[in-house]
Amino acid sequence: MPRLLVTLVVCALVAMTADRAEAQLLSPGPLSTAHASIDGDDHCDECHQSGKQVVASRCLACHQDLRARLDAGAGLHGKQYKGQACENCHVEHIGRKAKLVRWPGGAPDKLDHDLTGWPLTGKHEPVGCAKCHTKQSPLGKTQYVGTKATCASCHKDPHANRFGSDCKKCHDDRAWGDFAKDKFDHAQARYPLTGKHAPVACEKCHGTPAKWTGVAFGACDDCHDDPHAGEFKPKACAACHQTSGWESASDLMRDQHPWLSLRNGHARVGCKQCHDRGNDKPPSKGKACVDCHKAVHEAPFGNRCDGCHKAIKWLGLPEQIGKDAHPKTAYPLEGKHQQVRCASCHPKAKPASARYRQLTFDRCAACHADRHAGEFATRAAGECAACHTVGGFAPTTFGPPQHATTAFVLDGRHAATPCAGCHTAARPRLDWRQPKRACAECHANPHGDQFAKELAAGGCASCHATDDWHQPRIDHATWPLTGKHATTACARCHGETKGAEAAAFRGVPRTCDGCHDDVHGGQFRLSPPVRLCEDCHTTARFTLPGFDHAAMTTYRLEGKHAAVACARCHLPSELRNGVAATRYRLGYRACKDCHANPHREDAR
Amino acid sequence: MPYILGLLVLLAAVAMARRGWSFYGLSLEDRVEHPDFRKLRPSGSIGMGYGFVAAGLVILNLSYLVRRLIAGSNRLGSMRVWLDLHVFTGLMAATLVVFHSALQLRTPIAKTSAASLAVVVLTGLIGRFLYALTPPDASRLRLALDRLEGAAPGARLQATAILDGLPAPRLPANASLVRSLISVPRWRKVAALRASALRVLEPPRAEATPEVRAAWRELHKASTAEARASGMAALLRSWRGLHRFFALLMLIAVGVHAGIAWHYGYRWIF
Repeated sequence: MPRLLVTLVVCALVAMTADRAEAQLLSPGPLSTAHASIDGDDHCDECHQSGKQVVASRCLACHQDLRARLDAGAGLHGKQYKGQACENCHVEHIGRKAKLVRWPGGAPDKLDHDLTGWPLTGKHEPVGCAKCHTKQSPLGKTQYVGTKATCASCHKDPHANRFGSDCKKCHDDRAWGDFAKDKFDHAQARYPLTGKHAPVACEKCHGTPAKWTGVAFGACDDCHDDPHAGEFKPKACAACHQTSGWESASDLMRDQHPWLSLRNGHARVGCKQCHDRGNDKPPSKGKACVDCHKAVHEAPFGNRCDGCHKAIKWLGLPEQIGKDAHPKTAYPLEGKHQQVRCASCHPKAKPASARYRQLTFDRCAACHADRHAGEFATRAAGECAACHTVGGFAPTTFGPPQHATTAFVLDGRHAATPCAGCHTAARPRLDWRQPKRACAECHANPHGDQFAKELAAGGCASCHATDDWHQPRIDHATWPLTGKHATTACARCHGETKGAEAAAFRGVPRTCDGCHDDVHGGQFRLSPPVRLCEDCHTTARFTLPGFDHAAMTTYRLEGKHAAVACARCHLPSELRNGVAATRYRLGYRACKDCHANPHREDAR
Repeated sequence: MPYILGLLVLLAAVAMARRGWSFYGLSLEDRVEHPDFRKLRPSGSIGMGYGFVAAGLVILNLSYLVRRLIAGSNRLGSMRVWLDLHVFTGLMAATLVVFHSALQLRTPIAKTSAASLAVVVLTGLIGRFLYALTPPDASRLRLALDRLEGAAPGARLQATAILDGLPAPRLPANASLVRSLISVPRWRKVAALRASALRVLEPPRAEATPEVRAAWRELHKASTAEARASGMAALLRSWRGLHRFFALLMLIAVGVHAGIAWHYGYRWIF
């Protein structure tokens, strides 16, 4: 019985829920079409939060655009429903086709648009909702949230953004044409109103009825008549006049004065002082500067003063003008002088009358101090040019040829020695007096006392010249250098000077074995007949191409023996004294000593 | 007291219906725009209050089971009073649940709860009826025979012979509901036979004194009650099992429903 009862009850439950395709157990009813995608028991947490019923943050996680509006306190939601629970208005779980939005007033067009913070006034009042709310939701319904409140979002800007996006600066919602002219900022138009134009009534330029586009304004005479009757054409009015008033043109005209600047000195000159026949006619005195001004330069600078005094300034001209004109003076600027500031030679401390024309420049000392403190006062009358040029004090032109005029001629290697090599005094090194004359006063003696006698007799110059230390004048006749000795470096026999140990030029061995090793292991030295090196060898080479075997040995080379190479008989071997060397003293005489007997019985 | 409690339930139902009369008659969509929507909807302040009070009454209702476990104690009041309270809390809870749901059953849980509650109420009412029909004890027949013997000496012997010849059907204590129901015609038949047999012994109305007539009338009732006592007791017991099963089902559904609502923060004033 209980089983039967349970089965019946379960069947009844299934029957009750059979009409629900989703077989939802917990949901209190289907969600609306807009939320159909999150319908079902698996999606409760999309909107509901444990302990907090339906939380707005979960709704806004999907409705991001609405979140922005709420955060900004803008729009219907931001202004009227901020902080309220979403489900207070958007009631869910009452069926798929249930309305999710219930408009205040009953319908969108009955909504009091003031609640949105964007009241519909003026021409906006009768406009249908769909005219502005053109966006559609994914379900194809009109989307009201997120409609931009800017004019440009609905209206086309006929000004091509020339006046910015804030239409309300000039227009209101009553009518486009009836805009607030007094609020219009003409500076944003292509023709800003300046000076006398500013207070002019709109109708004066735009006519009646007003014409706001297509108004010509490119030239002044689009509005103004030419009182000069075309006299200054094609020059534009603005070349002489400005909008601050026709009469206030003098400053502008001074700036715009043709061919002559009216600044600086001319600024103090009245128009009539030159334009004696009227401002629009040239002066009767002429146009050249000298027609008014007296030429004061003695140098031939010509009559076009404005070549230098373009800014109408007699004094205080740019330095480059003076430097460019200096070649025309008696003292052209050359070398380093071209870089010198004008005030260095023409100091303002001097009166203008003496600053330029009264300068003396015949001697360097007129401007430059003598750094040598009169040391060379007697050379070239103390004139610097004997040693220096305008190219700079250093390098000096005092070279070896000039040095020859002193007590110490620079020749040989001395000519290439830097000045500081000898003139080693600490700065200032302008003390050029150098009392040293002897070699030893500058050079160290590397030979010790080996050449004391020669040094006493003639100093270093006994052997060396200034051309090269290493090419001494040596008479090697006491031990003539012949053959290979002639090209052998001195140090191979005499050694090298190393620190305090001088190369040995005295007591060097004179025999061959003083320098050369005995490669024959004493074969010719220790056993008779004793032979000296020079008996067989010369200084030209060690090899013996013309060795006379018959004369020098007791074994004459004849027949086939004459053509046999030396090494076939003289083989390297260990001598009796234990030295390894090519054996020359063989002691062979009989044939059998070298040759085998082919006729031996056992050889067949 | 049962009438007073019944009247209370009726008054409560009328009051709740009157409070939301304009609301409950609307469709789900139209209710949203009703001014009392936020109060009378199931999650509203009043609607949820109905639910919470109903849940409290259901818990109170279950205390009857506790009272039955300690049936021997008279200090807790009589079982009849407890049963009346059990019926009252059950009916009141059912009434509150009807208005808590705003007369809409939209979820399987709600449907299950409501169906279970309806069955529980129905089986409860029937059980209450069966309870009323069940003889309180077996001494009534003996007392009736004693009263008859006092009014008409010698009649007891004849009546006892008839009753012994028509014994009441007996059902085991654990008889199923079906078996109990099947046995109903049998004990009805025995009761009817007993009544007709006793009517033969009964003296004519004109000859009998009022006292004798009353004694015979009481014997009729007592013999009928005795004939159905065993079957009725078994039927009541089985019926109570059915009532408890649906009550358990309802409790589970209500528990799930309340648990989910509590989890998501629908906690009324708590």
